[in-house]
Amino acid sequence: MKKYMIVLAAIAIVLAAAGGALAATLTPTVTATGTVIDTCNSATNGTINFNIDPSGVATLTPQTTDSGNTSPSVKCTNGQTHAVACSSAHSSKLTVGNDGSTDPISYTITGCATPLTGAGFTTATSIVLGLSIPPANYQNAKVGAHSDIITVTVTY
Amino acid sequence: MKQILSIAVIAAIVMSMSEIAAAAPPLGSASSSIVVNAQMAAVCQEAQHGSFPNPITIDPLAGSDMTISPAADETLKCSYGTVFTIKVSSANGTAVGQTCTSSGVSSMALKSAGTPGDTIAYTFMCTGDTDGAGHFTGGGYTTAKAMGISIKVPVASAQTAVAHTDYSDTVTLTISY
Repeated sequence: MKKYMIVLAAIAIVLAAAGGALAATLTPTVTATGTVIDTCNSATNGTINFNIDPSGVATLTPQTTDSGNTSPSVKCTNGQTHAVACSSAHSSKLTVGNDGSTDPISYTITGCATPLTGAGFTTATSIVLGLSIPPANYQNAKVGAHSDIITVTVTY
Repeated sequence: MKQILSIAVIAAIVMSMSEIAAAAPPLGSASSSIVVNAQMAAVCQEAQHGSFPNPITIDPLAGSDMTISPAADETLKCSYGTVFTIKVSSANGTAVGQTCTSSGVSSMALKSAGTPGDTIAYTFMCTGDTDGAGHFTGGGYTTAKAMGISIKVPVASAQTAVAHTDYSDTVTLTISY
């Protein structure tokens, strides 16, 4: 009988030891994944104002960066590059009263093919554009104001 | 063999997914506008300097007014549609800033250099004036507009003129636009 008691005591000790091992620290992990989306907003408008001297013989190249003018801008996700497209309200023609037909002065838009790379939403990225007007297009134009509106679209 | 087939299938799926991503449509767009304003200036520029034959022969026996055409007409390039006028002044006459019309400016005078007291009155005309009031209209910078200048010596002036070979006058044209 004494002999059995010894065996039971040994089993009890082993179980106690095993119980201590099961209570050890666990360190589970949680994986968090975030995706910064590619987007743009806060577009602002620009202006190009300039004078035309019909006696000139040079191609006119007014820019949005010229003194007194403003470049349009947009805020886009940092580091993302986007295509820029430009379209004229009147087929790239400056007209009297912006009516699309009176005394048209044809021009081409420059700089629109340059892609735009976003700088984040605390920094607006300027879109620098210009016009190119050869002398033959303005030498016989009528005196007075001629205008057009260019729409700049950034696709993301 | 079975293991190799499984890898090939997974690779094919990954490639298909990347093609789908490349063909994804744009999410949106942002637009702004640029207002372009150009102001065409009204300007004029002399294209050709006017001159008259040298010498001009005045015949006291002509019996009628003499009209002398220029050796070279005065021509101007002006902005298309610009209305301008020409003012005429005579160095030896009394005309100062007179509007030049097709009917002409009187009070002009040729004066003898050697005998300044001998003068011949004449009229300076701008026949390019189309409305009779001295208004010219610019035809743009690829079209030079002729002023149509000429001189008329009235028969009365020629008949009383003293013979000299040194009569002259300097005519100043001022273009206003």
